Amino acid sequence: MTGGPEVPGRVEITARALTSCARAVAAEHLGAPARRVRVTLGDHQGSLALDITGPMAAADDLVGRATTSATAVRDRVGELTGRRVGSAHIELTGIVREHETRVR
Amino acid sequence: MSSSPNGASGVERRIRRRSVHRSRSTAVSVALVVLALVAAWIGTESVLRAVGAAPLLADPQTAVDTALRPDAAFVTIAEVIAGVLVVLGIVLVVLALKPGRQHRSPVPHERGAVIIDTRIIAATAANAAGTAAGVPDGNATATSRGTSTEVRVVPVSGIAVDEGIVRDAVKDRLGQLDERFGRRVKVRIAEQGTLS
Repeated sequence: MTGGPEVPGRVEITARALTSCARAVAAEHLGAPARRVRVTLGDHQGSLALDITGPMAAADDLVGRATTSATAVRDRVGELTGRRVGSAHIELTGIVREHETRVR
Repeated sequence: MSSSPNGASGVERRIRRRSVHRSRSTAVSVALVVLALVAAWIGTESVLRAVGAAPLLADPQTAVDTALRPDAAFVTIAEVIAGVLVVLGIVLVVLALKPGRQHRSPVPHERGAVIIDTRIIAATAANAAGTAAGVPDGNATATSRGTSTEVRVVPVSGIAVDEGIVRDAVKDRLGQLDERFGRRVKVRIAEQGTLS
């Protein structure tokens, strides 16, 4: 992220901001509330490595959906932050049912 | 000095040389003082012997006699002394032969002698590399020795750093100080990046 020699200064994105961003993206793709999703950032040979832990929305093919959402999260985070994302690991901790708490 | 076009340049060249190289006068002084002390001791012992007074440390005649008919204890002492002298001699020879360069470099300037510390060159190189690579200040470090500079860049995770661009930027910036500094630049990009 450099503005080149004609623009003095540099844009820096903090690790916190990256984490929040990745968390929102992961929650959106997994279909789980963002507060139940945890994301840790790491480095994988110079690229960003995402470690996502959280539940996902109930579906027939959980593993297949998790795999596709890992790819989708990786692409989307790369798109939003402008960083090269090397890997996205998803660790599922449970499922979220729709209408889990029905308001009567 | 005779080739200098004007009178001041000879002095300036000497100032540059004396600033870049370490002085040997300390080693010379210490060696001479030790030599003078040993000579004075030998002279004192000889005079004391001639007068017939008691020797300070050892009578020269007995010392020579012991050296010619050595016993076990004397051989050990002689070996220890010889070892110490060999080490001292090597130190002096190294001090005499090595150029004794300090961490400074002369910069050509039309007036006066300009000497800059290599840390300034290294800091300039690190700054140029950091700006070119787009990494925070702490992620680019450099060491400089003589006219060669080595730059190490730790990239920010997810942002590729082009080694060629960094090298060109460093060469360019150091070339503004003096063309010699920009010639040998080595850039190393760390495999593992850091988050922001």
